[in-house]
Amino acid sequence: MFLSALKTCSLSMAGLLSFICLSCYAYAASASDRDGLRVYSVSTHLQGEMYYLDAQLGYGLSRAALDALDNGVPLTFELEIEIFTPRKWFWDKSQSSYNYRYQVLYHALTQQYIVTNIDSGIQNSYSRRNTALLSMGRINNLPLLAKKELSEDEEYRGRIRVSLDIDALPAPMRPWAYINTDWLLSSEWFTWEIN
Amino acid sequence: MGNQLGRSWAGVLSPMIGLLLILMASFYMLSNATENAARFSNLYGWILLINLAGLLVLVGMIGINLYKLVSQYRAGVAGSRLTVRLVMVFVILSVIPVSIVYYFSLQFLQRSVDSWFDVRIEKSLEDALQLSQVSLDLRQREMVKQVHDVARTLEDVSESNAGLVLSDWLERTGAVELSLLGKNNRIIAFSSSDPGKVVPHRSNEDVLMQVRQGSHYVGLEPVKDAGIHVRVVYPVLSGSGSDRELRVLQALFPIDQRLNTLAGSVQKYFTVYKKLNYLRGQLKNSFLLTLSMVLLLSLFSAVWVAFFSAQRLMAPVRDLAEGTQAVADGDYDRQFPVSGNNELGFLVRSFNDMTRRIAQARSQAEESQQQVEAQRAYLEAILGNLSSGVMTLDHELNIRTVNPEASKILGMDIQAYTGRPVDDIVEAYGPLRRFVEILKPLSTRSGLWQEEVILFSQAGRKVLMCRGTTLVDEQGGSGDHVVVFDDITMLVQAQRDAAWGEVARRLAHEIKNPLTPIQLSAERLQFKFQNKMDENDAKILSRSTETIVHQVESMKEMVNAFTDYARAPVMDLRRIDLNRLVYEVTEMYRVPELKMHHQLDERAPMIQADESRLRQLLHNLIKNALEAMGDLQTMQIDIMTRCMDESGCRFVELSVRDYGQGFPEETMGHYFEPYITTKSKGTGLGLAIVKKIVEEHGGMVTAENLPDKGAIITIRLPVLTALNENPEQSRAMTGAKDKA
Repeated sequence: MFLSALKTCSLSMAGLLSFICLSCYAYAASASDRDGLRVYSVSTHLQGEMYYLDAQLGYGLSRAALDALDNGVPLTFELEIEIFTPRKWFWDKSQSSYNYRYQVLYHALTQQYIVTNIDSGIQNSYSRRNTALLSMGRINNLPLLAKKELSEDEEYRGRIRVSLDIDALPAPMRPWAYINTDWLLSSEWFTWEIN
Repeated sequence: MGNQLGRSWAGVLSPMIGLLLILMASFYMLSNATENAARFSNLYGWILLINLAGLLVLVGMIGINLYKLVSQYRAGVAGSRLTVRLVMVFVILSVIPVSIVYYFSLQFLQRSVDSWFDVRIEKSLEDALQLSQVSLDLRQREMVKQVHDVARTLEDVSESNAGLVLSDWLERTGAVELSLLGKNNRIIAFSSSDPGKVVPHRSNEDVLMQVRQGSHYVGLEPVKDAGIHVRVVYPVLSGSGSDRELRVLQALFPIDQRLNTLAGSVQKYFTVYKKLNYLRGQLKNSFLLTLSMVLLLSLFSAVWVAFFSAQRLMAPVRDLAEGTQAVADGDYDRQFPVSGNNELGFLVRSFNDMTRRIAQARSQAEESQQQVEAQRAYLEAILGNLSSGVMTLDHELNIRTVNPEASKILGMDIQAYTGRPVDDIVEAYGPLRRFVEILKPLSTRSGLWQEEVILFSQAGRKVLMCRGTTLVDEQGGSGDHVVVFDDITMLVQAQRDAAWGEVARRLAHEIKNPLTPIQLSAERLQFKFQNKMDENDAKILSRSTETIVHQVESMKEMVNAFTDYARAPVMDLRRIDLNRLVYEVTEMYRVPELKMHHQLDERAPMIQADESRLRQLLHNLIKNALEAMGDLQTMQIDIMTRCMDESGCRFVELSVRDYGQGFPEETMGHYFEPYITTKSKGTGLGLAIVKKIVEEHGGMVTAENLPDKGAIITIRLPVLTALNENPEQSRAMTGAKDKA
């Protein structure tokens, strides 16, 4: 018993040390080259005086994330959209940026996956997980910005990225989530031109 | 300085205490965050980072301290070894209890977290959930029936009437929302218990698709802020023929308030339990992380405090060690700050007192030494200015001290022989042999002594009056010998001159004065009574008076000779060729009865002398020789000159040898004193004048009988290489004669 406790103790110390040592490496590690979160397509269209955004996102969650979801851990995703003017010799000039947050949660009693748009409060229930994730990945007619906000002389581009919000996870999971590539879920920036 | 030290400690301690407080606070928040406290939970990542950074700062500080300590240890800095030991002891003392606490905390943590979870609880919760689902299932079936009825009713209802029908059914079924969707999910009719709501709560695409394929859908659905609802979606086939259209009826039923509350509670706690169960491992790890970080903080703090305390404790010891080293190196000005009233403080105070006293003692010693030096210098100055030569010898007759005048009197640098045996002087300078000889008995003799030494050197004849005594050492035994000597050559000569001058004056006064009346009386007797006497008497009278007159004349000559002896003419020193002078003088005595035999050394150098005095000297010598051989038929005088180079001293020797009877035994040793004569004629001053002239020239004169026949008088005159080579001597001679 003593040995097992000692083993646990040493393992935990080793885990802590590895946590300290690997933190730098882990932050540098990129998860976007795996089958994680993807942006398949994005487009904007002008409807009246407003630009609307249509996007197709893929939420390819890791086994650990799916496991957590099925065990009642809510997963929050953040959609970052930025409109900018590209510049050749300097940093791009940012026009405006938007953040949208979505949460997916398993409701055990109803056996439903509930997807909630945190900003609008709208929630939808899905009996299957994949359906919930697919529906979360379909963005249609998302009001983006007014036409008058853009100058006709400038060239505008937008970029979009979706990522898992680790800070929204329960606290005990966070230290490992910060350094574990299973949890460092984020898509590459996807850039498109705004016509 | 003590305040500065205090400030420096405070300067180190304050930030460290601040850092530790911040870390403790962040640990508190971390542990709360681990337990899911909402207010800290958002800051969890930051708190973690701050704690890590704090720990890294501590590790860095410990590393710096360790590096310094190791460097000091390797460099052998005073106190570093003891500091290392203290640090090790402190570290061991802190690590062991902390590790034990850590071990038991881990055990406790494992058990505590595991005790939260129980298979029975899990099972009961699952059962409760299933129970809820089953009870809701019944309700769902009822609702499906109701919706089925509604759907049947709507099959024949036109789009325009559908709204009314739905409103009617809404009240009858107790649903909160009823909506009918047409093709492409177009809303045909909608009825809600909430009048403000104009858009139905849509089913998702999957459900609609499923329903459009002919089957119905029933399911529970949590509605935001309204609890659990039952959604029933039912296909409605309306119209007929070519207008037949598959519509979709959506119904949302609330469930019983009590059932809703209970089911919601079951759902909530089931989820919480399941989530906790799922997070069990991570939770343990989080607690372990917190605990480990607290442990590390405690350990690192303890290690740092160990360094801090050891250094603080060792500071006075290190100071003392450095101070002792400094004292050993002769630096007595070190003072250290006194830290507290403990034993170390007492030690430092004592050390400070000690160095202060040593410094005082040293300054007093230096003062005394300076006084001794001053006295020594004063003594040296006195000895240096003393006209007497002073020499000290140890009991083995090694020269210890010599004053400059001693070197001057002895004619060589005696000071260069300090520390060497006195015999070494003779090896270097032969004329001092006699001087050294009188010192030799000192090794066996003690007490006061006095002796006169005559030296003959290149500088001439020197009479030294030596006095000495043995110093008594500290143990009362005989120690060093001190010898004081004066050059009394001039004094002796002056005394003699003065004595004979006095004799001469007395003679002039006492003898010469009555001579004239005697002579006059004798002449008057002859003049008065010669004619009155008969021829025989007159002859007798005449002879007698002539005898008286002659004797008076000779007495006058004798008195004049004394006057000559007593007078002190100024010496007129010139470079003279002695051989030439000898020739000139002997030429005057060239008579057939006298054989004058010369052995003159052609190498004899010029000498420095008064020519007229030397002539007188030669005349006196020749006269003395002639008088010594007065009754011989054949007279012979040998005159020799030689260049002598004896013991490194160059002088010219002049010898006059006669073949007479020699000096009588009774006058042995007094040949050159006035009135010492065995001759019927003569004043007895001839040789006395010779000696006087020789001494005036710094020479020596000796006389001795030869074993075969006759006697020889030898004169040694010093050779001076230049006229002005020894002007002091010349002046001294003149002065001495002036006095005489």
